Amino acid sequence: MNDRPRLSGLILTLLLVALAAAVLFPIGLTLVSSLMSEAEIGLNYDLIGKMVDTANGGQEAFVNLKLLPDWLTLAQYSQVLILSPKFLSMFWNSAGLVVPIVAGQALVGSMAAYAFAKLRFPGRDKLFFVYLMTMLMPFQVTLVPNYLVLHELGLMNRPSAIILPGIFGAFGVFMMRQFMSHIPYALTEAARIDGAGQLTIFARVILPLAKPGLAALTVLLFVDYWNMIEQPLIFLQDAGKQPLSLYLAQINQSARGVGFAASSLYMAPMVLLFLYAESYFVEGIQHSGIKG
Amino acid sequence: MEGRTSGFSQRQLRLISGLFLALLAACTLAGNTIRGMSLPKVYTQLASQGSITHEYEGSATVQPVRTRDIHNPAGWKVNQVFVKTGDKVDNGQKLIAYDNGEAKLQLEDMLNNLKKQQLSYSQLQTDYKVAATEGDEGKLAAAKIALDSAKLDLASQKNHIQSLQKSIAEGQSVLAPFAGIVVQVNALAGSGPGGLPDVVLTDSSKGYQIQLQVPGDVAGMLEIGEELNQISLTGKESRQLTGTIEAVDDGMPGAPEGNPSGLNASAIQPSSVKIRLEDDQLIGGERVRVKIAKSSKEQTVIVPKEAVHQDGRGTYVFTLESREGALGNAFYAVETPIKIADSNSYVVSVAEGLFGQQEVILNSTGFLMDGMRVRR
Repeated sequence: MNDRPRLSGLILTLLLVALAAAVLFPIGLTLVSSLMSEAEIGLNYDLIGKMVDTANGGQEAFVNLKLLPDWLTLAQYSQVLILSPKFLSMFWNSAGLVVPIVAGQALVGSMAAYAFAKLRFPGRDKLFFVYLMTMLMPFQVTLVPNYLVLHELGLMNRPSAIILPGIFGAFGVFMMRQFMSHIPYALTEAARIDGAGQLTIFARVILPLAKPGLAALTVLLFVDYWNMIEQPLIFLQDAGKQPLSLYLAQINQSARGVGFAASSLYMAPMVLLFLYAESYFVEGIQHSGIKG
Repeated sequence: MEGRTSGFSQRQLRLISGLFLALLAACTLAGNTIRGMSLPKVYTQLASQGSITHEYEGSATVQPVRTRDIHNPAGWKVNQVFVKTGDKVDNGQKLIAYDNGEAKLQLEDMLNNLKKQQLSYSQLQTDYKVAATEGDEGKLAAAKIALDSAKLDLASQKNHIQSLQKSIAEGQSVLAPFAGIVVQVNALAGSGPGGLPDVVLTDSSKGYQIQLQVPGDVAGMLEIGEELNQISLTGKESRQLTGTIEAVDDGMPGAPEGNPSGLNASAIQPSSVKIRLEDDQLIGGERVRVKIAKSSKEQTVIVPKEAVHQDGRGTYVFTLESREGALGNAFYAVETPIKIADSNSYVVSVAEGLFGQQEVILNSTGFLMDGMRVRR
């Protein structure tokens, strides 16, 4: 009788391990390959699946993926960080775009979400529905109107062409509203009875309770905008202003080692942010009801 | 917070993030400096289309084309010298008079002897007539022989006298055989003949010349009959002269004419060049300074000489190549073999291997090898 739950637990664990391995394997491979020399990477990846006449007495053998480098080298990192200013310049471009967007959307989104979640005004739900509609539309659909508006405003080829639409994105409003709607009305009512204004209630009551939601929003927005491709590609023609996300696309086959090193560094801010906000993130996702 | 699963504390994560950002910031701010230390900096120049100029500058001494040594004709003492060094003389002008006193005395003696012989000849004629009248055959034959012998002596004496008279007439002075300038006078009044010529004369009509040792690369571009006008007289009265190339004598007969792969092959063998000067006031011995600048006719790719290197495989230059990579444009030094057509002290004309506007590395802060990454 007791064996059944134990067996299903085991199967579940194995399934999760396999899933985790599938997710972690590319990341681990990227990190390992970033420490290989360019020549070793060539030997490793170019010959996979081929019959190769190895040095072993002319025997033929299949080449498999190499998971540990023969020689550890930091040459690729030195290429990326020292010998060329391009990566770092694009890294700071990315930071300059993503930090204002995340901070701005977290602030604007949470204030709007407070209004949608805790204030009662005519047409509130209809307006929220319109918000949702803009979120549901993919970027490509709104590309042309976005382009025309930015062009008319004279914002083309400026970082604000990315930052302003980012700050006023609908996702933050949606997520924070979902999170805030779980906060009981009793708390806001109590504050109001104690004589608190809307701003005080928002800042002193709601915002501290919405911390996990804000953390989750920050991580999700950071990942989303750190990886954006289309917006900078279209709105930032000037190569000197483009973010890091466009950098990896420019790496060709002859510089795969550089690509692995750049990818490892590219991942680092996202991984660090996730680890930092991990517990808030899980809680925030749970309460905002957007999991799965 | 309480549900942390990654194994890192918030403090550790803050530290790691801080270090990561600090590393990136340090690389950003110090990147240029670090790059400067790790890559050799190169100095480049664009290869240009043009012609190569060969220059020569040298000095030489003006020499007459023809000189004549005038010797003491009879070996007599010098009586009087009419010219000094540097004098201009005309054709037929008297240069030196010699003392012919002894010769005249000798002539007088010979004339007296002739008279004596003429007297004894008359006596012999009379003797012959007497012998003929007497009819003595023996006496007559002896008188005839004596008469014939005296006749021969007389003729011989007359010849000697004529010869002496002639040599007195010719040897009492020397005349200038042509118009020219006295360049040397060795004769001294009262002295006898020495080993040296009494006077050395130059021939004005033949003009003056200079002879130069010109490097092969310049000499190869000179043509006989070509006029040169960058000849200047140095010294007290400096002025410009013009000259005409009369002969170009290649230094080493049978030597190959220019080695296309060598840098200095053609410049090594100098040629002897004779230049005829046209100027009335020259007397010979002046110093002149000559400048020759010749440009090649065909247009080729020109690179500075310092950019050209040589090794066992041949001659090459390093060109700068820009390759577009993931990290933006990177510059590489590429060894490019070239064939040299011509060269002077500063530049090299390239026959093959380079084209105009190609960036050539002149110098670098470090050792260069083919394919090495460099910075500009």
